[in-house]
Amino acid sequence: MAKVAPELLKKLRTGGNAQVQLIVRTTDDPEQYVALLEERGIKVQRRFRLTRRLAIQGPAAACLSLVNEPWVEVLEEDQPVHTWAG
Amino acid sequence: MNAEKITTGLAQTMAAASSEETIPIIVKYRTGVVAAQKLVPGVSPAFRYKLVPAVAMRVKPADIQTLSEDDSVVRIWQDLPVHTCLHESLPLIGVPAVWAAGVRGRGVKIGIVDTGIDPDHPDFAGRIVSGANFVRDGSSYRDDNGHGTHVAGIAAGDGSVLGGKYRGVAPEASLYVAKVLDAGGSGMMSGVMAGIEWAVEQGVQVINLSLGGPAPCDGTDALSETCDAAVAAGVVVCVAAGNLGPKAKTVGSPGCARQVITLGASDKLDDIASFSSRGPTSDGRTKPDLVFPGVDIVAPRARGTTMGYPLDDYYTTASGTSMATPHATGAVALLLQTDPTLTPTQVKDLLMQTAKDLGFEANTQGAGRADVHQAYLLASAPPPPEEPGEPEPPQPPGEPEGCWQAIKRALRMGG
Repeated sequence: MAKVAPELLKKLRTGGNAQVQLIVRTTDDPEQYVALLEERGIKVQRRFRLTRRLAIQGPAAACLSLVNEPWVEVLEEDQPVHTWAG
Repeated sequence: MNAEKITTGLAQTMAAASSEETIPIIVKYRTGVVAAQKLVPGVSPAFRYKLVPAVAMRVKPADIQTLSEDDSVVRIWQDLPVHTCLHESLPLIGVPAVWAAGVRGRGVKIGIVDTGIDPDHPDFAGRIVSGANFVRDGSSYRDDNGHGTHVAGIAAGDGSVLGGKYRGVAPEASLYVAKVLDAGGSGMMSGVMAGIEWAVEQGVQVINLSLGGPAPCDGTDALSETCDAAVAAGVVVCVAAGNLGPKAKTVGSPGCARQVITLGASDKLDDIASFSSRGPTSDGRTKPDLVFPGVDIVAPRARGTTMGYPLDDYYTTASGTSMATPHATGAVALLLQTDPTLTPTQVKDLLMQTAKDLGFEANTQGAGRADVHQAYLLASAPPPPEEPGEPEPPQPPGEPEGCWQAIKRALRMGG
């Protein structure tokens, strides 16, 4: 999986202050990056334990800065899910 | 109006209907069906039958009266919904034979990660151990959509409202409920991931995910990897393939996760539902893994909700891979009661090895339609020799090792 999908990269580059919801996979314990994220105006919404991930929300421009962070392994959009009943 | 041509049930429906209400009917003609469109201007038949001279359509009560007066019309019936009740779908997959052996899921913990559950539905009385809300943290896990209650009922309802008629697959299992989808049946991947983690921490042995997102996928997205991590933690995860069939590459996340059991839907005639998502995944792996019944399933209805086609206050009918998946989840509960030492991989292999090949390609049916009784027989076969390296005992002449024992031995050694 690419670190960031091209569509998401474009969204972050053009999004400015628009809020985006992302899931970030880190190279090691994600807890140590929570303060750093919050300093950039990015809110940590959920911390996960089964995998090294955080659910975050923040301005697109601020989230774009995460792309170049070496501790960010994968950045993906938090996607909608729904039931499969007809 | 020629009342003799109109069935009693249809006549009653007409009497109760308003003049503008349309009623689904089936009209049988003496020969051919060409006259239908002339008799009911502006109405197109929903279906033209080939084996009998009949059409299905929706018309107003006055149109039914007009039809009944036509000499070419023989009979008019109300078109009624048909159901694959749990008392039909469960025998198809061999569940009652497992119950007959005293196995009903007792002691097995099932995680329902969905829209919540109706905690007051009698079919779950005393068996909902815990619940949590991940749509609005700290709120109730009560089902405000109806989907989760229906799903939970297929997996583990006891059918007590109607004396067991709509009993689920594992009616003595315990339920742990994570509400991750809202009243509209939608949520976010991150909420589902949180619900899965909660369920794992509760100690559940099998998780039901009758939900999904974007398709196609390759199993590396956050939700798919979370599911695989749950499996690595020892939990069986059953996931709906999706309802985007019959096109290929329509299995959505997390159905594309590598270690989960991905379920497609079949009907009571062992045909594959057209809506059932097809593989392969975007990285070329075969999915679904299996199919279970998922068409017109009657199961518990959450109070105050209208999901599906309600039969009464307590039951409703729905279709989808959402309905196939809890059949699998319940089946897993039966297998885990039979042998609690089974790993998730062994459970998946047991179900796949014993499935009935329906003759469809692998990316449509997976291994086939599950046969829970055969999987149970395999799971309950005597265990293989414990000590590695010990030579196999010689088989007496003329008494080869039983097929199930051989397969089970292979599964245990490989799993």
